[in-house]
Amino acid sequence: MVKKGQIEAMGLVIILVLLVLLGLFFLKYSGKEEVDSDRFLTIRANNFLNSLRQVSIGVNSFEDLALECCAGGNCGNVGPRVSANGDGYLDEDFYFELKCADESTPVVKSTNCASTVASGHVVLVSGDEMFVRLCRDF
Amino acid sequence: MKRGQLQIQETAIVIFIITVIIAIALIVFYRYTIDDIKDDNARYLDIKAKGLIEILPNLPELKVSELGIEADWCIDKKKALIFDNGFYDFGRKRLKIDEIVLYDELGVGQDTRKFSSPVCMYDPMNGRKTMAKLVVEW
Repeated sequence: MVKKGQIEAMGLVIILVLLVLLGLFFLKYSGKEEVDSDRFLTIRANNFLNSLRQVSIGVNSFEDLALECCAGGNCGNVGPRVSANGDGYLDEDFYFELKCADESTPVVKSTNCASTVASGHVVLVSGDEMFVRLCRDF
Repeated sequence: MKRGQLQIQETAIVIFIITVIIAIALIVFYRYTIDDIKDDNARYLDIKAKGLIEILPNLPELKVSELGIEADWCIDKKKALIFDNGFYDFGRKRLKIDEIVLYDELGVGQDTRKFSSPVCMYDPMNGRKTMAKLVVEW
């Protein structure tokens, strides 16, 4: 016959085993992948922005186009260029912003995604800035 | 049966049951650990492969240079075409920039994973810079 004390001891052992298993599962799914995924999205965003600023447009570059836009010139070509390159070379939806040195934002390509990862800000010679945010998959 | 024999039997049963529980726990833990190691290995391979989108565009063997000095953050198309993939061991991977295969040790008929990033491509023949897609398969 099993004594009452022995039953209680076995119950404790089972509870301990369950707690250890729960702890292991918690450790397994404690957000490692999110950090990895964000890191590579940031690299991708930086690569996109660094490439975009150098892309040739006629005899000029995209950077020249952005500088001209912030200097009060034509901004009509900037947005379509951003969208065309982003749609062609990025797998995810994205947000783009050109912020001029006078704090105005003449070009904004918006997105509806809830969560994004940002690139670094590229500061142009005139003090104008541009950056992108890539949508997270989840 | 005497009382002493009964008590010995009880103790034997309790030890047996506890041993069975510990054995089951060890088997579960062993399998869990093996799966965890496999997951860690897969994650490590993922990180190693995805990290190439940061490493490749910065390789002197691919980057645009003028008189041996690194210039823009762009991949030189001519350098990419003659990239000597024997110098680097990237492991079981395929690396492509648009249609240019830089490295191919992937083989065929296997499940592969893919990660890509936009990069800037400079064509010295016409002096133009365009957006290109760097694809890493592993």
